[in-house]
Amino acid sequence: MNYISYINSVISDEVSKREKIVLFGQNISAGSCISGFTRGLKPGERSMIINTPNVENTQTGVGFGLMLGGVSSVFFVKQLDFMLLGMDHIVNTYNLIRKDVPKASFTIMPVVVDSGYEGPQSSCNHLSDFCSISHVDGFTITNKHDADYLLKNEMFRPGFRIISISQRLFKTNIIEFDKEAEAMEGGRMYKYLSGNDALVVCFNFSLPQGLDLCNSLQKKKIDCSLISINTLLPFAWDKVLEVAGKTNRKVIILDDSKSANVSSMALRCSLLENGCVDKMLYLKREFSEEWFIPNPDSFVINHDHVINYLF
Amino acid sequence: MLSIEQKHKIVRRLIKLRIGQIIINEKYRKGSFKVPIHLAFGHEAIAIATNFVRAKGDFLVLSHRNIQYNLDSALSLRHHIHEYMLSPTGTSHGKHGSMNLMNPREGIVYTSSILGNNLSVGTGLSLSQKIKGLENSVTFVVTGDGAMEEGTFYESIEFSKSNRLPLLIIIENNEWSLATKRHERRCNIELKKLSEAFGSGYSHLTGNNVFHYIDELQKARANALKNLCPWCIEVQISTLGDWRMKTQEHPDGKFVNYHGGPAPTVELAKGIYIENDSRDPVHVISCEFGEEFIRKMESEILNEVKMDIEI
Repeated sequence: MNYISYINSVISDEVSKREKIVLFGQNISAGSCISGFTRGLKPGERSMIINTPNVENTQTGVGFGLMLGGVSSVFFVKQLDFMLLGMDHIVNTYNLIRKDVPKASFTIMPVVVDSGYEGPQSSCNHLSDFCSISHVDGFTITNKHDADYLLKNEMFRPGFRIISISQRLFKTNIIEFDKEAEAMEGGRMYKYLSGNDALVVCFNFSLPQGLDLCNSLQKKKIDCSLISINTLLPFAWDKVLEVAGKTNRKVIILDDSKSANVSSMALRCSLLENGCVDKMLYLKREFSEEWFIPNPDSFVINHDHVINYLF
Repeated sequence: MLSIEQKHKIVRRLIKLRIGQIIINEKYRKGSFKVPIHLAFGHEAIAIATNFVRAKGDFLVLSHRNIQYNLDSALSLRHHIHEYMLSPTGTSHGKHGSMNLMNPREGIVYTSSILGNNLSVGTGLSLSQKIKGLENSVTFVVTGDGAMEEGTFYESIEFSKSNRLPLLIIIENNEWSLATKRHERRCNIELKKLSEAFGSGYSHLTGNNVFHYIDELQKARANALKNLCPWCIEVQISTLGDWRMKTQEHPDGKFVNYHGGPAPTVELAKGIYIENDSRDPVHVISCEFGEEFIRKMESEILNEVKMDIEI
């Protein structure tokens, strides 16, 4: 099953269990239903599915209003860039109401348009910026395991958060690991592989690149541990440091976010401050003028470079 | 039709609200408050009328200038003053201060200091009433002629109309946005025509007669519920408390509009009348009931209030 079909199936299952909820967004039950993201959703009784007008600022405020009124909702957004119009509410409205015990949930689910060639106004993939500005919970879905956990446990948990998906992954087969992934920090990060030769830590949507790298290294008889960080807020890195201590003190950090404000940098600092690494590679996007013309927008890892540097 | 007893109670509330504001102003001038307060002399008639017309289950959503609604709804002036002092014994336990003051027990569930921000939250609250099957409940949102310039004003009417929500938008039009008059900053917006364009309702209130306002708000509320559509209520208001500042360029005094902070020319010693025309709601009720009646009530209330706050 491909990535978007799987996510759609889990969402369908979750919304069908709930009554008196509101699912809203532009074209969520029309046309392609955001390329299948929201196709066929059937929430329980007294619920509404609203194909809204194009009013992102107001849609975001409406979600918070519903939450204040005790009604849970999900706002599906075709493109993360559009959410810039809703930032007033993500910061100011949430800051005002977050200290009260929430009566309901409000979840924004934007698509990060990272598939390339859509031009400079479809290149914002830095969910971390949306989350860090007001310390909002934010999660990325990269594979079957985190999709299951986040959609089942976070989508309707009372309170507010952003859960984003990657357009680049829509038609790819959903990544599934043979062994059950080890959830850490309450599902905020996962350990997918356990090897002793190096640790690969993936941020944002870079798990596929991290997995490819691990597979390449495996062919060279180098066994890696693989961790993906699914949340955007910095948190205690103890678990990662602990794994790094067991992986020959070699760490590779991958982050495909284009933001200059990334939590992967905090991990890098923490590893160095705590003397947990002998060799480390920090691979992230380098700012480029090419970002502002249509381009493939791909995050490519040179495996040979990694092998030559670390091993 | 209001009975004479009901009218007397309403007059009493209006005078009490004026006295409460004057006392707060006195304390403000003495530096008793650290929070910025936007007094609302001249706004009493619409506030009393709105609070009177609100039914149980209706929501009220406010903006930074909210004292007129909150003080009328507060348990006492003492509780309100304590809130401004950020005391746990305040109306909102000292958590909201002035510009975000709310009182959920009295239906005031959200108050925003960001221009226009409360409109979409109010829209969401109205949608939550619909989902919960509260078919006789409405949401009132109070905004101003400055906030209606924001795009979200247009968006919220559009969203409410599209989803058949009985949202009552009270536009307190005092012609000013901080230090600029409406005609200095923008073209005229014919709100009636804008409302017609959306197929939503419109009422225009002038004259500061609290009983007339109650009548009109009751009609607007009933019509919004009957037609399931938003209803704009534009209220012409003069925010009183302006003064003249003598400068070299303006030896006779330059007009300074009251926006926020202490009002230097309003004093308890001068009594409750600020203007002797229809800009002042106290003057308007005085025309109906006679100055002697109003002065007598003023004296009674002042004694009660002084005992309450021990001044």
